[in-house]
Amino acid sequence: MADALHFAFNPGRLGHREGAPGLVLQELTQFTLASVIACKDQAAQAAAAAQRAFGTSPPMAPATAAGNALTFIWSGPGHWLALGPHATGAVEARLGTAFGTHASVFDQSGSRVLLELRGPRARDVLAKGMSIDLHPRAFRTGDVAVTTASHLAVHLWQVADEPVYRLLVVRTWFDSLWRWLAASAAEYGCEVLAPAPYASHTA
Amino acid sequence: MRIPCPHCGPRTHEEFTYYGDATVRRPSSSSPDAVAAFYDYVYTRDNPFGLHRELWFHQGGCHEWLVVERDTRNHAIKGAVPARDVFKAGESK
Ligand SMILES: [Zn+2]
Repeated sequence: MADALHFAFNPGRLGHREGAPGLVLQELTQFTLASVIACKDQAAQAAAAAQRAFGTSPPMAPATAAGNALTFIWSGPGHWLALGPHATGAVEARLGTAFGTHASVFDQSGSRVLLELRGPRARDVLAKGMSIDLHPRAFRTGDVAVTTASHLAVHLWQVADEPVYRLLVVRTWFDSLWRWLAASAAEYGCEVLAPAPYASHTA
Repeated sequence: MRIPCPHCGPRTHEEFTYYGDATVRRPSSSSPDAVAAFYDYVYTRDNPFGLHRELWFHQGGCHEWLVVERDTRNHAIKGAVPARDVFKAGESK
């Protein structure tokens, strides 16, 4: 999959140019993404199957759970996204084998753009277009929100306290999200880094 | 207006789609008075003054149906529960 941002922006500094950037933005590429939806009343069995196959139990509340090879991102009751480094071979088959008859698995690789947002003003930038409370008392490392940013449906989760966020948005909506992000970050200064493979960002 | 989604936490009502009265029940299409019952089910609505149980869909979040108890006089939300629990229990009327 070509880098989604090539049409939107190039690496470099945007907006306010003095001092350290308030937001550092990077697209993470070359990842595998699949939806895992537990069959009716099978969430507990699906979680047990994931525990056996990937060494982690998919969260039953809005959180992430990192296992070997992939991370489960809560997406709704009995519904998760499985995110991992780009894998050769069909991830659908691998996950399908693991979950058996307990869950439906669909490959979503390429359907989303994955962004990493960090920097001292990352929280302020997001708050301009998100209605959820991102204050550390309400949203912490490991927490997930399935919500809207600038009226677009996104998955947002926090991967470090400083804070560092990751955000998944539908690929065809990215242009719109980017225009909002760029405008929102301009007053703080925004450093856009060259895209990097997700594999090197497995934290 | 903020709706406390039992799955996602408190969210602005803009993330939800309103679907109306959660207390009506789809009639059986095989009953002899099906036409009248369906007319009633589709078109006839009370206009409650006070607490009302209604269906909201969290399309900007977990994609789950909720039964929300809302005061129609002032939009105060008393609570929200997963609709599947309500309908499983058959308690709503
Ligand atoms: Zn929800």
